Amino acid sequence: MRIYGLSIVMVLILLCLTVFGVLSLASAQAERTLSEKNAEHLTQYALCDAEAQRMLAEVHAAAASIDQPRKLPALLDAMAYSCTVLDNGQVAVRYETARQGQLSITVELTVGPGRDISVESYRLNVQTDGAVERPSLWQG
Amino acid sequence: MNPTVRSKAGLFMLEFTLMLLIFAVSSTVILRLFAAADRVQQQAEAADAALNYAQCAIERLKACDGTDAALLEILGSGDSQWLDAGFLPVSDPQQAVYLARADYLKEDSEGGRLIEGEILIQQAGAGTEQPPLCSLPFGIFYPAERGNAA
Repeated sequence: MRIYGLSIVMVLILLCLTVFGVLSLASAQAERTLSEKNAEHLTQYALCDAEAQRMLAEVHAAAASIDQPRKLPALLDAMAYSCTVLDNGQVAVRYETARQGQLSITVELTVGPGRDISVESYRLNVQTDGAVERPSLWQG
Repeated sequence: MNPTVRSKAGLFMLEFTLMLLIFAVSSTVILRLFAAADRVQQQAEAADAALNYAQCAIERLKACDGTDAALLEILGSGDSQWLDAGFLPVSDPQQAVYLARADYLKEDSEGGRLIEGEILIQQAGAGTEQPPLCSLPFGIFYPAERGNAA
């Protein structure tokens, strides 16, 4: 009778330890998955950032290569950049990087009459492909 | 000896042996489970730390003035840097646990300097055929107005 009691206690202990082991492994796997997703997201962001910086370099090179600022819009148009001449003589340039996964970066900058360039906005866009629906606000 | 008593003792021994066997097998399985969990967690932590180091390196590159001296200081000589377990640079490769390599290209123009490349972090001593712990691409432009172009 005593051996049965011991067996039951031992089996229960083993069962508990097995459950803890499985839970621990599941938790570690979840942590690794999260780490992989984080790495993927950061890589996508880094690729977008690198492309945005390359485009910024192109705009700077274009601005430095011309002798008169009024030639800049035509040059940037030819390079497929979207630009507008503002009332104050500045040229506003806007571009968006190619999408990496769900991310892209939109950059807005202005080129002054002295060909000085200032970055007005450097924005990260997250596209969800409509998979995540935005819930409508409760109207009361 | 009474044959009934002998058979009971035999049964008891059999039961006891079986119990020990189950205990041994289960203990091995449980230990392996915990070891596997620990290994997976360590891998995840190493990957996270490597990514963090790569990000820090990129942020430091962004903050520097983009001159050759500044790039060399951050990326190390020979485009690689030895790191200890805390991902801090060490001068002696024997003490290093990780190796950070930055494969990059410089492109100078009238507008400024663009550097593009990738930071790879690998276990020290691991061959090149081993996948790196982390690889993060970067592209940084340093405008000429700041007086840091080529």
